[in-house]
Amino acid sequence: MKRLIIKRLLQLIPMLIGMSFVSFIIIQSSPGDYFAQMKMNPEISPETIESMRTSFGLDRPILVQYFLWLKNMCKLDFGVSFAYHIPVKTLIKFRLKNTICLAIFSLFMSWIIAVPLAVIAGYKEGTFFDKLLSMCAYFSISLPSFFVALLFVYFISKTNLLPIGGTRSIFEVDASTIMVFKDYMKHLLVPGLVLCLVNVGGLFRLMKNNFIETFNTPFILAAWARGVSRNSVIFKHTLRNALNPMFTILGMEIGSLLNGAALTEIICGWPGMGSLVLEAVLSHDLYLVMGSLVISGFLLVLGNLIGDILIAFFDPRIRIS
Amino acid sequence: MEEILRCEKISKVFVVKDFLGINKRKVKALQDVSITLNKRIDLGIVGESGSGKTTLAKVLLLLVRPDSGSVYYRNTDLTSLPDSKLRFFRNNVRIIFQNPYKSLNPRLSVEKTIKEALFPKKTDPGMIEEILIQTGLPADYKHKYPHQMSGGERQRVAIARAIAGSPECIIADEPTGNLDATTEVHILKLLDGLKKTLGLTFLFITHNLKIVVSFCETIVIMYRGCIVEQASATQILKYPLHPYTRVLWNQSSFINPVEEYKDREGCVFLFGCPYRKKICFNLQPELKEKEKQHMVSCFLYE
Repeated sequence: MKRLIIKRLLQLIPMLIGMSFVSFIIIQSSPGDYFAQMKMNPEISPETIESMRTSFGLDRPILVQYFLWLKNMCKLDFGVSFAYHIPVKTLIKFRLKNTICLAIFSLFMSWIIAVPLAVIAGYKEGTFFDKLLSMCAYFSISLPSFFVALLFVYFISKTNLLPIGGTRSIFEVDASTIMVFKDYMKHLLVPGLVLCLVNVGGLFRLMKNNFIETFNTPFILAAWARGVSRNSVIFKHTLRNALNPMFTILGMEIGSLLNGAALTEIICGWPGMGSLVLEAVLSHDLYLVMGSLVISGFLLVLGNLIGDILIAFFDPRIRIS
Repeated sequence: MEEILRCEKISKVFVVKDFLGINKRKVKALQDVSITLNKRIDLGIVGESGSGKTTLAKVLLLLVRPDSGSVYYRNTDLTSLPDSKLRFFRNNVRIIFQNPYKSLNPRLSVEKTIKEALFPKKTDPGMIEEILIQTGLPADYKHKYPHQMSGGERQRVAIARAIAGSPECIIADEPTGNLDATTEVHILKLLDGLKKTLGLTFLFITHNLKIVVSFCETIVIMYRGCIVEQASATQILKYPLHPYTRVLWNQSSFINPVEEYKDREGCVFLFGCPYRKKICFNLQPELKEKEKQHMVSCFLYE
């Protein structure tokens, strides 16, 4: 297990270098930059813009710029955001916490809903209950996340059930930690449930198919033939084996939720990484884009590593090879 | 003779759908099959792929419920009982499946696999090791997982699992079907040894008539879901009556006619039979006793 973790973390280094190099070159080669937009403003003189470019090191050749950025990144200095004028590290730190909370919440919710329902539907395959759940799953898969987010926001704004936008309400200075946490969770509910609703259909379908496939294998028939109890057949023999491909999906989901939730974050007003990256890309905020990319890449690998560790932990075929 | 397991007039039809699920056709997997398994008299069921052997094994264990007919275990009708009340029966009648690569749970170690099959659950120390040694495996194999073993070793674990609950009868569904010739001999020797030492009764399913003649006392020949001949091993060996049994003895020179599984009139072996008569096209002959305890289903003997 230790070897697997070390191997994966070592693989991360060339992957991050390669990814950041390609991204840096592509962003810098594209026409225009953050300061090009400033040129449109007649109140800012070309000399001021040029001095700003120099101060950010953008007057040097692209390769030099990249290696300087890489050198600083090794010291965990991601540079300063052009738009926010604060260190990228500070900006990401705040946003990353929100994104991780959102990802964990929506993943937890979608798994806790999809897996048990898929087991029931798989066990009762072909029944009305299975067909009803499958129909709901198709709905979930076919609805785009932005549409669900819009519906949720509309519904919440009409009913005032939950707060929308931001991560906390306005509090008195001496508000207790529990109150702040409760308020944070209330803010998290809307984007979290939107992402959960979008994910749950796909997860359900995958889990149900895995369950049915495993349920029809000869070792399950052998278990029935030995008189093993129904619960043991379902949970010990079928579910444990059917979960294997799901762990791979979990790893990929962790990575994709961190980047792919941008639209939901924007519509629900959740200050996460997705919306930050999107804004940064649109405004050519070079160092912010690069910083976010490195963090996303790291989290993608981390997500896959978690998936691999779970598979190795639960499956002796991987653990003892 | 002490009767253990009996099935009477068992029929099973499977409905097979096409890709879109629009066209359905019925496959008669079993047609009025009746067999009796008596204590210490091993019964062999022989037939080619698709003859209904495995379906019969599953029906006997109530893993597949028959459309009609009954299964009796020590004169108790099991077909009317729910699965929850079959635990005692399933502990006394165990099955060994054909494919050792798929019949063991990949996540369970050998120890857990055998432990789960024990009845009662509480085990004496060293019991699992003893069972492993009985099946010709080293005691330290209890820590291994299926993927760490060869096909022959896996099948030995499957046999160990089958004998773990001290059953009185074992249904061996082509236990050597996926093994090479050498391993096949070892497994057959092992089963023969267990039969003698543990006093087991076997219902041996295979497509190889030569194996079953040396292993079982009584033999049932099946073709397309029907019993076409039933007799002692000696009678089948010396005086095979049904044309299909003769074909089985001389398999290399026989090419089975490709025929759609459709619901047609007449004898099931109609298109493969060199002796077919006019009546064979219209009726399926009944299984009748031609000689003492030698049953055959063929118009040649009527």
